[in-house]
Amino acid sequence: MKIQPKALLPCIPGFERGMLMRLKKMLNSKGIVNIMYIPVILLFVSFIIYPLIKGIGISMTNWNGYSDASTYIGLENYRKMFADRNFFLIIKNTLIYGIGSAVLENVVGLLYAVLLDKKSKAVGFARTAIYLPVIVAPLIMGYIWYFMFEPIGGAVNDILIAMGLESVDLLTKGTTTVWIITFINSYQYVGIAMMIYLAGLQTIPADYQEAAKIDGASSFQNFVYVKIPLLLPSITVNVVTNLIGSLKLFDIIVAMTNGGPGYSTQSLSTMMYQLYFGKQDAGYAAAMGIFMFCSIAVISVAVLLWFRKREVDA
Amino acid sequence: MKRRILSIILAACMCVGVAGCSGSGETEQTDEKGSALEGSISIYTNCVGVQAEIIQELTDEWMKENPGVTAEVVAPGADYENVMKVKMSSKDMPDIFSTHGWANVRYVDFLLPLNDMPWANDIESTFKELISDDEGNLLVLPIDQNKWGLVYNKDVLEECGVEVPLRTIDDFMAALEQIKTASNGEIAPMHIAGGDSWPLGQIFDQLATPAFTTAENNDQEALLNGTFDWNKWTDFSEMIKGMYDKGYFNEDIFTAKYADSAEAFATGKAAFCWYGNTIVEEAEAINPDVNAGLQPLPAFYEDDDMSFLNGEQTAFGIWKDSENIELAKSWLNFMAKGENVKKFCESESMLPGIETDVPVDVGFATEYYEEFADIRSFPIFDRAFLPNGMWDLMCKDAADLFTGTISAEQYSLDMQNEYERLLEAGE
Repeated sequence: MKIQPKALLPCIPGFERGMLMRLKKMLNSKGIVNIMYIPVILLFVSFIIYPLIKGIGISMTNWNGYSDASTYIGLENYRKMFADRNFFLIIKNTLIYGIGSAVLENVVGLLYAVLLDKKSKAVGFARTAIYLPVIVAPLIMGYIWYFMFEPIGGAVNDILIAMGLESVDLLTKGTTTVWIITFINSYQYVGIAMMIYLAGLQTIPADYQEAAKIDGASSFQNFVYVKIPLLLPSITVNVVTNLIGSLKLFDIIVAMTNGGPGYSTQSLSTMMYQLYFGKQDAGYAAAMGIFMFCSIAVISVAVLLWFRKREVDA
Repeated sequence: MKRRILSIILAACMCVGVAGCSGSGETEQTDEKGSALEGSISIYTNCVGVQAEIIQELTDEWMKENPGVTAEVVAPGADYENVMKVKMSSKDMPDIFSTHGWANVRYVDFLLPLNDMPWANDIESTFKELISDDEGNLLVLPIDQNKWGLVYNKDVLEECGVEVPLRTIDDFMAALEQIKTASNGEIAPMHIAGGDSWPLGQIFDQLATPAFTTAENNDQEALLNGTFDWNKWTDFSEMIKGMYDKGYFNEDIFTAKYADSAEAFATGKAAFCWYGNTIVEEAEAINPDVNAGLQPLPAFYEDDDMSFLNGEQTAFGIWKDSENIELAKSWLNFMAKGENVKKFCESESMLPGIETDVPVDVGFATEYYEEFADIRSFPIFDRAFLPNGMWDLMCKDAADLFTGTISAEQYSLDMQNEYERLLEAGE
């Protein structure tokens, strides 16, 4: 939209026509648009780039996290990380949290979306109920489920005992516990996936589905060959955001097991936190943080590119 | 164009906002002699619950006495240590902060010497050493002090026919077995809240004192100069693993929280706890009739005697670079008043950290401190003999040891490696 100098001029006492024209020219120039980037760039550099560079620097020291003293030790922390006997267990757990949650959230979210892609009061209620856990803080969600699963007095065990079965301490079962946490994380965020899929489903033109029906496609074929390809942009968004969020899962683990017993349910995030604050090994924590950042970046970009190649235009 | 104009206005607002954020926070303080104190201070404490409330109440009273001052009490609870580590790394400490046992190791570089305070000479000399730096400068005001022993549920021991005091570790093991057998497994001989992680280290840390530091031929020097034989930790941890294997702990040891320990102790479902006297206060809130007892830690060797653990508990120091040192000193002087020390110590059955003219009743513990008045006290093991930062490993590996993920040898090796790393980092 162009500025109307004549309309503005009477409002600004002493404002000459020439000045107004210069202002107009300046506002319409590319330079002013570039200036708009400055706050964002400043924030990005301050809160992303600078900490990242600083983190790389810290990862090459033996800094304890709070003192003035630290010594440069090169890549020793990275060597220590790969030699740590718990490292591959932590990687395995992190991948279960990340990939497991992404798969569960997307499969269940898509299922919910397909089932609830209708207009009725009951459907609205169901959508709300599924979305509701999203608004609960993840730490609170973790504690709610902790009280469900705790071995003495927990709801799950009370049910088992009422059914005449033995009680089970499901929070100390290693990989099983990791899957339980993955399930809880998925339960909490499946509502977001469902909403994105619902929005995606509603953008698919009815013509395509009708054409498929006329060609004799069954409902299942319609879903697989018409809806899924057109939903790929939604799938891409969902998978990538779920993957990133779940690979750095933290709060629910802390609330439910605090990464224990021992290291059995630790993720890279919780381990990094405990290395920094618990073991006072900030250098090692930073090395793990850099490794985690690079891993998530590589996995996310790879998944993003894979899906993008398969996207089709409606 | 409207969007562009709006963008310019928003960007300008952001810049002004950012600039505005950096310009506030200064405090005014008049420290002219003779004039009333003015200004504001921040006080950070690791205390929670009743103790945190008492600190707030006392601070409110201090502010009433000094109308020109304001004080903000911050009690972040379990996150306290992490908050303080971040503050230490950014060199932005509160004016006054709790040192929770680490005045001389972790916080020494941040603390103002308090030798000139009026109560500095009212601290018992051996205890004063623990809260002073290597040059003998007093670092903190100790409101109370630890004198940890073995806390037990008296009714449970009587019910199971266990007689106290248990003088040796063998007596203790026999008592654990007796409780398990007599109660038919209904009572946990020891309750540990492993769900909170840190309590798993308590039993190792507390029993390490009689195991390594109290006997005539002890390992104190070896632990301090880095020549300790870590094979001894293998035997020690195998002994504690034996307790786990025999079922002497609560069955939910890895998931129970601290509140569960208090509840089990209060309701007679646990005989011994490893949290010091504070667990009794928590238990009394659940069951006012809980009958608690206290004895020194049993000895590990025939020629040794029982022992107590002694150290700082609730202690406050002043940040040496604070701009409000006079205010902070005034607050410490107020807290050091006899009636205030009494109020705080009696809320948790702890001995006072400084001598005052107001007698302190430490509740259930009084009779036991009198009964065992001649028993020696030793500094808490990890604070005195391990480098700062080993606690987390001690707890995590303890859990792995109990679950069979690692062996006792691996636990010792991890302890040794971490001990050497932290010593090297400290140097």
